[in-house]
Amino acid sequence: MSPRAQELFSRFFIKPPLVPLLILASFIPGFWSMGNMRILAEAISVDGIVVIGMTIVMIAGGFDMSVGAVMALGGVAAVVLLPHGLAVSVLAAGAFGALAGTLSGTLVTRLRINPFISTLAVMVMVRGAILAYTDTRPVVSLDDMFLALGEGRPVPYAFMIMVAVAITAHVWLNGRPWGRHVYAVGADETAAAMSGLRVGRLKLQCYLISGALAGFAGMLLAARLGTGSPIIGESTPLSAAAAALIGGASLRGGEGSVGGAMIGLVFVGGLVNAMNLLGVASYYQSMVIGGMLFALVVADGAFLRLRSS
Amino acid sequence: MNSIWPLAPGRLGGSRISPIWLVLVAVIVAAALVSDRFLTSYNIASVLQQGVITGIVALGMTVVLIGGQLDLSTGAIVMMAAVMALLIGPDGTLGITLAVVLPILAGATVGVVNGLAVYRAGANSIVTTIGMQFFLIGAVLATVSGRHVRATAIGDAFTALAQARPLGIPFPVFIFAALVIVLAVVMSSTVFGRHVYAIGGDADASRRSGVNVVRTGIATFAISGALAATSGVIIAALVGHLDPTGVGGYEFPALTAVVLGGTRLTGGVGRPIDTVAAILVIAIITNVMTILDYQYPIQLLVQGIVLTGAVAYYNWRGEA
Repeated sequence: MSPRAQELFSRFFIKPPLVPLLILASFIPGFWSMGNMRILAEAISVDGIVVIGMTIVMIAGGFDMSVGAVMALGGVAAVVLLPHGLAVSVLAAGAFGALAGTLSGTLVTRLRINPFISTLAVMVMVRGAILAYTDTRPVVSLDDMFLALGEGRPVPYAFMIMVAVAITAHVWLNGRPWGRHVYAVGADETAAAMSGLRVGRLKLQCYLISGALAGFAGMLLAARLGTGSPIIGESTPLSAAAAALIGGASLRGGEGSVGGAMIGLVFVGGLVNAMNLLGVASYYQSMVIGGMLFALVVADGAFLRLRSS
Repeated sequence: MNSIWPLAPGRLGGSRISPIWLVLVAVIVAAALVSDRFLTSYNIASVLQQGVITGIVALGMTVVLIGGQLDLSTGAIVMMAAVMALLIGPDGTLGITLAVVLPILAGATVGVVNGLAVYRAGANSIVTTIGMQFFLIGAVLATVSGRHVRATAIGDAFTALAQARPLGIPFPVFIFAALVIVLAVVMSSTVFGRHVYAIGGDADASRRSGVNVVRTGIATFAISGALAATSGVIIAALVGHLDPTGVGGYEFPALTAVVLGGTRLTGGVGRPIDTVAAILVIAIITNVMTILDYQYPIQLLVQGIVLTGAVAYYNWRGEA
């Protein structure tokens, strides 16, 4: 096999075993039905938009623990601002997310706080703020236009939006100087700074993008459910990180791609979907995802050891 | 550097006093001024009761962080231990002994697994322990099918662990005080303690000077797991039955206290005794907010701000 074919084989069959998973899932009645494919598409499209942001931050050598809380923020903001018009509400979801991302980015770049701690603190602050604002109750919307945004047949709008975001992010990361700079910052910050890149600004932009995408994704989820809930997204940072890591991103930065992350996304989403169809209780799903993340990070660290020794 | 081991950081009473103690005094004065209900003996006992449960978790996380790593699986270990203690059925001498010992051993075992992943395989400790957190929560909820947990029988000696009040002080406060003294001495005056400061300060240098980094590091996680489990056992003794989904979230206030107490996020600097002051500060702030009817969401918001402020302050001071 040519190296290119080998790489493709590895991407789909081994890291992650996506094709084997899909073949196994074929034995589950109804997995390939139109109805289930739609459910799968809906489930992965909201998470997928978050994963893209997370991947960009991870390529730049950071991490964004706040994505779940920011999703909830976007959903609540969108529903609350709906009376001012759909456009305002959609833009506000992204803008509030971008604001949270800017806060994370500022803590990381200006105050030089470890990205995990910065985004953890932002996560807690955002969660506290929306729980206080909504008095811990979900906000409900009955606006037809807004609910229609959560529909789309046969392909959900959210899925099309995710694909569009993924293509845009892919083009930016691979076809533009900005993308090369982000990879450079993630691979070696000192070297990037010495070759004249504005490291702080680039990193801040990555967190801003991640925040805006998470807020936007939260708006789409609220449109699908008809509610903006202040408590959604608790495990989102976990599954988003798992998808990005499976897709070849690394906690050390400088590695990863949007395409890889999308494969990781379909793998994680497909696994969860298959477990749902089999009637596996959500507790076991939490175990599987948590255990998988644990194993992935261990593999990520062990790989570093192998290479450095 | 203000942290050249072995001179500065570990010596109990041998070095300067952390500013967190001044903050504690200020917070106590402010709390007494804001609410006349604060300085009642009933309220002080409840502050201590609350502070101690988070405090024991924070002590273990302090040791891990002095070694340069974070342990965010502690909240899930608390839950696991509480459920285990109740499922064992803490009645009779044997039952009570098992209900105390087994959860703590299980907590230590989880810590060893975390430690192996972090120090053997070189995994990022934050993401590793979050993965472990979700794994444990899932495992515990699967075991009890997400249902409310009741002990088949609870002996008086077991509930006394949390509910006895010698001298009017809740018994867990004595457990906490004993653990603080033991850990303070271990960290300041034993070879193990010096090694933890060493690996947190510079793992490579300490490896070259003969410190067993992997074994020391694994031990820090084991201590953290065992202490978190201790908190869980105390909760089980306190409430007697519990909704497992309602037990959790201890890791965040504990982390806030560890950082507020001056333990450096990159490791090598910090003292368990300073974490105690930070725990009291947070417990008092939470208590006063509750008295003034600020609910959980606002308390969460304030905790996030305190954490950010503390990290920013120590970063700013440390780099100077």
